[in-house]
Amino acid sequence: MEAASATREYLWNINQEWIMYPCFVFALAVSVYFFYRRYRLWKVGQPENRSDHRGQRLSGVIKDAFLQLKVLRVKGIGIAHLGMYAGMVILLIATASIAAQVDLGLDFAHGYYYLIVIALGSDFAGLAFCLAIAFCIIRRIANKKLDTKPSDIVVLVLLLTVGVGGFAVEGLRIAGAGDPWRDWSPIGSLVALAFENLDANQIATAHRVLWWSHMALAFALIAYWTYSKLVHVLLIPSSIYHRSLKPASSLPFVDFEDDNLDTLGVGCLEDFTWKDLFDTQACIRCNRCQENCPAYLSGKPLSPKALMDDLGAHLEERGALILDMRAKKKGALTQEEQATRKPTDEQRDIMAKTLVGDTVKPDALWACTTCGSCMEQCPASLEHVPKIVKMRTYQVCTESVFPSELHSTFRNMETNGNPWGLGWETRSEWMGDCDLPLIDGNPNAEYLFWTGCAGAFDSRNQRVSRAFAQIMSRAEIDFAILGNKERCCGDAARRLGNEYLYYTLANENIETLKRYKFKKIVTTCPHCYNAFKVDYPQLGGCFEAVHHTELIKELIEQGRIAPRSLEPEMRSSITYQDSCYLGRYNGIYQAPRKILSSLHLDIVEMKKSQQDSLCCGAGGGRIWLDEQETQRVSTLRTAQALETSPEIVATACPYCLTMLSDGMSMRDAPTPVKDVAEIVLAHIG
Amino acid sequence: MRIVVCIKQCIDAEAITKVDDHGQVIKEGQSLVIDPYSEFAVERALQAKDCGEAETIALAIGGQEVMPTIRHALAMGVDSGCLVDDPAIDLDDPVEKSIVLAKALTKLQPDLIMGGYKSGDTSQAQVIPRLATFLKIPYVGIVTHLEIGEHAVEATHETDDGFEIIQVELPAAIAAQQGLAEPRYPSVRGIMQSKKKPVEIYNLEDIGLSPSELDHPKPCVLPCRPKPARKGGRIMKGELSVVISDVVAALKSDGAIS
Repeated sequence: MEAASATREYLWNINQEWIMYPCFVFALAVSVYFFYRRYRLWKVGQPENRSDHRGQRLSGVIKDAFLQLKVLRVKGIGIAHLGMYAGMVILLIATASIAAQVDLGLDFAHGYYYLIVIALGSDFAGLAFCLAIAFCIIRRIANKKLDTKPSDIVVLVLLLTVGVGGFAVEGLRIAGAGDPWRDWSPIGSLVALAFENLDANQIATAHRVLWWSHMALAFALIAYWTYSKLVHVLLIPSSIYHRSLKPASSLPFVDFEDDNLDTLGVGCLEDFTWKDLFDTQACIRCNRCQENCPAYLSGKPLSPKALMDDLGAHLEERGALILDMRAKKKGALTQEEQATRKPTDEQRDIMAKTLVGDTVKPDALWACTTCGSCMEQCPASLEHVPKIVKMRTYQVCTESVFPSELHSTFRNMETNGNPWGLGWETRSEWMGDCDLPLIDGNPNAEYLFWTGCAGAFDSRNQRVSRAFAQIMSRAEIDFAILGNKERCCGDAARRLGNEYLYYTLANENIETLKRYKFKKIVTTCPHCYNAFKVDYPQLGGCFEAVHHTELIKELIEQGRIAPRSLEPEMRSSITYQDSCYLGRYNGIYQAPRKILSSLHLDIVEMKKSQQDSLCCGAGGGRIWLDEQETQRVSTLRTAQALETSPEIVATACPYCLTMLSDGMSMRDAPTPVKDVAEIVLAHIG
Repeated sequence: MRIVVCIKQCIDAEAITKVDDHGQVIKEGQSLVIDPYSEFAVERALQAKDCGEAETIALAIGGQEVMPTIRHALAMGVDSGCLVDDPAIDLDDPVEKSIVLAKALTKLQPDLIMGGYKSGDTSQAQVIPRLATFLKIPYVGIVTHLEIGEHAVEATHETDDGFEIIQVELPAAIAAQQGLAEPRYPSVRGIMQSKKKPVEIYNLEDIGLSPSELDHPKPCVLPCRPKPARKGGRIMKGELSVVISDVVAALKSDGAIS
């Protein structure tokens, strides 16, 4: 037989196939209806343009949706998902090809295309699809942490039934029609063997029954598609397309000069942007955010997944009522309609529900370290942290409701420009006997060394400031410090929701800094660094910021400081803690590692490092909030560091240094925790 | 009911305090904040406002530098402010300040006068009891709890070894101690609104006081010396039972226990 003529009789054994078409249209209509219901819900949110830079947006969709790169980061389920995804795509192509051939008269579904795509391709695709679904069902049953809902299983069982049913139909067809190209359908041929003992009539009847059931189930799935979690097929590529293209740590700019400013942060569901609300529907509850959330892992009542879930549920109940109210305001409803739409008690209860309090528990809201791990892990590029900060902003700026211990933190920042509340005029006392140049005496310095509050006031971190200043002096760097004119960068205030305090501090700093003509700012604190890089430009403060690890790396590469070469037996093993605001938010993973390797130290990575690194527990202003002893993130992370049996734990962030040092004391571990600058200084001794 | 809270501006408690030759705190270059004791009084007045019909006014003495402190009280929720600004007033003299405040209060006609029982910087505890004496109204100081009625208040006065509950008829002056009320943190809305709230500025003439009426024997601070630096503690190490007996022996030898 000529392979070029290879094909099969489409719709073999099927009469009155026209029924299929109205059914299909009906299923599609149902699906469109459910999608529209979702669409109008997320439109309840505030407008925000997320359609600029189309090329960049599309390339993200290609990488993370079509090629599934982010999904594949987690091996087991990533591969299973790829099996489902690729299987479904090939099956869809094969089915569409047959439809094009039969219904549109396009004559191409034969020959090698038939053999490779429609016969062999869909057989393997179907197998991959069924195996992947079976794996997922077993995983959901076995893994209790997945918080499986009945609907999760319903979707999987439906899909598996469609997949297995497809093979049964194929097997019956091969057995009944005596397909000469059956070798190209190996799974179907294998299934056909099971029907060998049936006579032609039995096969034809069984085929007809199964074919129609298979079709009915497939159409039911199409109808159910946009109602169920399967809608992610549409929503996730869309959420990736509409992702924020700004740096991941950026927060919405609030202009306090604007006289019309009435809402600060998010006080109720409809204060969120449409994309925020869209995110709650696009969340597939894959658990990756939760499995990597320091708050959740340390036993606090926050789960980024649950946050999305709760907001999504709140949107379902409140969104429709908001739409009704808006329609009434616009007068779109007739009087009769208005009369019949008087709110019921249940609806009143829904409208009375508060966002923070009833929907999101305050303890959960304040547990976030804003480490960004959830967003880093999310295959759908959802934005959890900005939602949390926006809700905090409303709580602090509008309601003035926040954990009581923050009262003094905010006051301290206001009055003395540092969260410790130590006298502002003692800020430069960290220098001790070192005689460092002040910017007033050297206004054109190449580097302004921004000490940050921890580097200036915390005795442990003062040692880091002195070590780094000494390194710069040794390398003959032209630098100066701001002295007592420096104020808190405002990072913690902002991420704790005190946007006004941040605005005040940041503007004061920007005004001070603009008076001098230094070239770059160098700082040992990733939070200050992030403020200069991401936050201050929104207020017109554009300065070139460098983290001290970047500068030290450069100095070593240029030979301006030369670490001693150690004998192999003298080399210590070291593990490095990635700071979230340095690594995940600003992509600086290599500079500190290169420094440590140039010191001939053996770096042993923790099981979670770089982009997967676990926060120390201090970010997002958490360092200023009480933490139960049993729920300390620092203890968790310290345990992970100790698993590498390090002789030293290296950090490049004052918060990480403080938290991991605390963690070591909690565990009575003698391992020293040191900043990279201190380690370098010891090696250039 | 009209509640007037007398508020003072003082230097931040965390600042390094320096005093001049006359024993007065040097304010130059220091962060100036609302006195924490005044703030307890403001908060209690606002709580009364929150649950009733009370009108609240913040009253202070000083120059324009005091305005941020008045604005702070307004941002917390106080309805209006009143500043007595006159170069003739000696701002370091508590007697003179209480004469001025008493006169201003006569003009404002409050039902209840509140203030801090002392201030965070000088801790002299003079002004509120003195102005109550001038006004010939009852005064309760070091108040940690206050029930406000229509015609009388019931104040919990902290004593060295406990407390006493005193009922006084209005008008009365109440001086706040820590614990009376936990001050609220002003919301941004409050801060924005505070900029629009009225602040009356009076000089001595406006309140009907002539500079000669301020003449009186002035109290003065005689010597003033910094608190001696804390000596380092002693750390006892070793077996718990030995340590305990060492501690007991050390306390006995220091005369702390007999």
